[in-house]
Amino acid sequence: MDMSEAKSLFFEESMGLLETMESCLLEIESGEASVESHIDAIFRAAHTIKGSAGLFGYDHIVAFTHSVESVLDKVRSRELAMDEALINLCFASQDHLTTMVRQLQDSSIELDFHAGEVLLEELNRYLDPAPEVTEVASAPVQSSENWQIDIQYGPDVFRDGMDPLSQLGFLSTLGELQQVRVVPHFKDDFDPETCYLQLFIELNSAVSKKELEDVFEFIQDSSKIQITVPVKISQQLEQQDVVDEKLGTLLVQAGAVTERELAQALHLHKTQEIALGEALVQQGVVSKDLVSTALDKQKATEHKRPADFQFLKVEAKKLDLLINLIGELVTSGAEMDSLLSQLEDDKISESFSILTSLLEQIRDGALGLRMVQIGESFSRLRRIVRDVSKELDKDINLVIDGAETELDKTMVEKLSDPLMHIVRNALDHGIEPKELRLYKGKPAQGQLKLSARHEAGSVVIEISDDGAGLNQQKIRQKAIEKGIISADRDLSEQDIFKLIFEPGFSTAAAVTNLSGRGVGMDVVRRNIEELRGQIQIFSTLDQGTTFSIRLPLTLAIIDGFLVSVANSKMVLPLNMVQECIEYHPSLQTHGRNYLDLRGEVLPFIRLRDLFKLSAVPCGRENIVVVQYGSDRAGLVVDSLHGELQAVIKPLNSMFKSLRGIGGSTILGSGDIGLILDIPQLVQFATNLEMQTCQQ
Amino acid sequence: MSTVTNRSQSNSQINDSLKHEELHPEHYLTFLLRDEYFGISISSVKEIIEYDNVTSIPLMPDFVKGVLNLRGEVVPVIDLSIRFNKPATEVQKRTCIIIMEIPYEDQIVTLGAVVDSVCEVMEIPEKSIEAAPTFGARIRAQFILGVAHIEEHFVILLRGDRVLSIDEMASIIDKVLE
Amino acid sequence: MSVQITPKADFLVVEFGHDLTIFTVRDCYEALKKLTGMRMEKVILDLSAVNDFDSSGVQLVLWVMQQHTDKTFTLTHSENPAVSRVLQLYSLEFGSDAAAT
Repeated sequence: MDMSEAKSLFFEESMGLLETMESCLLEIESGEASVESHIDAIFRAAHTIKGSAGLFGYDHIVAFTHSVESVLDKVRSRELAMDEALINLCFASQDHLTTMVRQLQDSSIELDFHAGEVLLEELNRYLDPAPEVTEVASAPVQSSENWQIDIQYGPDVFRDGMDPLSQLGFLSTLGELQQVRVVPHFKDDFDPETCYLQLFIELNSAVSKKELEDVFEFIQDSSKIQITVPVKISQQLEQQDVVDEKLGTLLVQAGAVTERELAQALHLHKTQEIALGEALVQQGVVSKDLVSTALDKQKATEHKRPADFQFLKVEAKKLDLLINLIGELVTSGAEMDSLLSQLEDDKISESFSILTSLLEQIRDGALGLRMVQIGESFSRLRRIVRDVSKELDKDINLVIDGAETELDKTMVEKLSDPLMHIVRNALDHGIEPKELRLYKGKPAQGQLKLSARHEAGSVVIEISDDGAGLNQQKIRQKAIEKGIISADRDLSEQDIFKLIFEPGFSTAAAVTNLSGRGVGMDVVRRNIEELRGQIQIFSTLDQGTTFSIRLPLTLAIIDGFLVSVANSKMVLPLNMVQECIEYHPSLQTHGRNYLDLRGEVLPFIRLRDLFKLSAVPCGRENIVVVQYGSDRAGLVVDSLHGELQAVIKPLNSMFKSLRGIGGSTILGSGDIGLILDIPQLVQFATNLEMQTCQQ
Repeated sequence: MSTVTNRSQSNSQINDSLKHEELHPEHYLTFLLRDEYFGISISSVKEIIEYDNVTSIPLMPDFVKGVLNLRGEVVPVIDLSIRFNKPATEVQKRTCIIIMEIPYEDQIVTLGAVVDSVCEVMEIPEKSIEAAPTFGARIRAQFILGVAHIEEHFVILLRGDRVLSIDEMASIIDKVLE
Repeated sequence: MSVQITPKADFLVVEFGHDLTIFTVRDCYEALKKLTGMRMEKVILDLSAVNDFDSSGVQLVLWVMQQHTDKTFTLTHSENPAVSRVLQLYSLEFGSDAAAT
């Protein structure tokens, strides 16, 4: 692993730990969890960040984290109580740490050193009146120990200019050389310039193993060095007060093994498939006893490890490659399917359908890998709600529902900005100040609810508040003032609400620094649209507002239903297809596009007309009845071609204004089929109709 | 310098030379739109293919012919003639699609451009390139890198990133769809 | 010369030159080969004149001593600080057969 990979790993790991810290703090503060239940995790997070930072020489992070860790340690040992002041300090420290870590990846971020120092002062005030000296060593401090160092020098050591004397000399400055034995291993063909020496050294020293290792840094590649742990460390290991550590980390933390030795052993462990402990013993790095002590320790903590920590980090690229391959498999399968159906051989068809079903399971499994729970995004919003509520002096209760609802990972990432903006809006303008709420007869505490659920092939995310609601009059007025609409325009409630998405619109008297960095709701809408989603607003004056975002489950592969319209092949998402019926012109009622479906009125859309394809129908037409959300519609098409699995190939960005088509796919024949986005399509058709009506 | 008209290479010859040629900034692929010669730097050109099986996209303005399947990739196809305010390309035997790779935001996007026929890859040294004439240029100045005079012909050298600008084309489409 | 071997009454004196390091060990080694043929049993290795002494020099000395099992060696250096420092680091007591196993 090269340096930059290692640094990225550090960054990701630290950011993850900082998030853990934050959510733990939030839960402690809100009373959801006790200090006892979370303090270990918070402490460990700080501790691990400090250790890793030390490896890279990020001294400023180490120094800061050290103080944080010390304070947390005192909370852990019950010397300090986690009161409001301390929690706020922890939050502030976590923020500062996050900035420091971020700054490593983005040097444009400015570090507020003064703020950092103020925090350090405050932290140190919690510690002893005589504060500890900041320690940068990555291993615990030890008292003097008798180290055994065994060096089998490589033959070229003299020629390379690496004289053992310099190491001996240096060692003598680190402690007391109790014993030095030089053992030559001469051969019959003695060459005076070749080194045949082995050194056994006993050194009494208080330095860490790493420091000793560093002494031999330059001869590590040519010579075999073994630094053995004195007995005392095994005792320390037993006392080690850490939970949830892997064997290697335990040993490193106890000072029994250095990071480098661990890395070498890990390499052995992976390439030769021997157990890590075994590898470490083999390398002569630790004694067998020490390993068993550590293993026992590890076993003791294994069962305490909560189930949801058993995650794997996987490179997104690898996953995409895998999904692509599966996509090809799926297309290949589709071709096979059509060929086989021509054969009309039952046995082969049956066998193939078993294969197909297995393929589907693999496909679903792989796609499932890309899905993450939206709960992650919601949790990040907790912090914002907390901070903003404090700042605005509003009492706001955040309720989260459906956190386990899964979305494609890329969508979750793109959602975080719009969600944050809407939430800020609700906090800022939605929920009224306490006094006003009481005056209105509402409870002083405002409710903000984030929810997510699956619905008919879509994901619906809602942000609701019980605040002031949207004032239609004010919005309309503002839009007229800004020239967005003309004064005589007649608009439905939905349309008026939608005006807030127009660029340059803002009903707030003052654009606070909270409600976005100068971006407005128009960016929110654009982001949602880029995800091929839709956003709706429901609101009642003085009661509250709900933003409802509907997103397609944009999977890389969908189950589709293939139809043709004129010369075009189109694919409808199968989960929205309810039924197909033959179309007769007589079905039309009153000359408008409605038909009577078993007593129910079903609006229909002629895709040929909507997409302005050739006007001459070639034969029978069909209606595919689709359902999306709570709405239904019929789509008039030419022929029906049955089910298929389609790998979604997004259309080039230049087509982003196209409404009703959500992507393309390559059919078994090599032709390109257009994937329809049903909700968008219906909206498009509706808008068109409205326009024609107005004209 | 070779005559532009006489040395028309076959598509496969051109594709080969595209692969082997080091990305020399002074090499251009020349092609014909109606009776005018154009050139584009080969650094943008990936390959040449025959015009075949382009799936149309509904409601698009004329210059968007549609999309095609290039070994599993869905590639938009643009009619350059229409882009340059000429009549639409009539698809004939020699009609080709030049597959180009254009940087867009922080990615490389693959696009196809329909041309009447492709000529050859040739070296046009910088000093042979003159600034675009301000008169008589029916094509928007921002598309033009310059003009080279080769034998008796003017070859209009194009800026690939402008001619196939995703943003510009998207906004044209946007207006048309409104 | 890097090494001077002077036979005395019933012992040999091997005097090393200023430089007993990687740069000179080969020459010294060649010169020391002569010892094999010499019948004297007692050998004095005199390092008094050595100014530069490194591990290869130490090794060479050790080798000489180990090589000739039929002889007894005595190391002397007349309080030469360069030599004594090196020997101290290596815990090599001179005067006795060295720390060689």
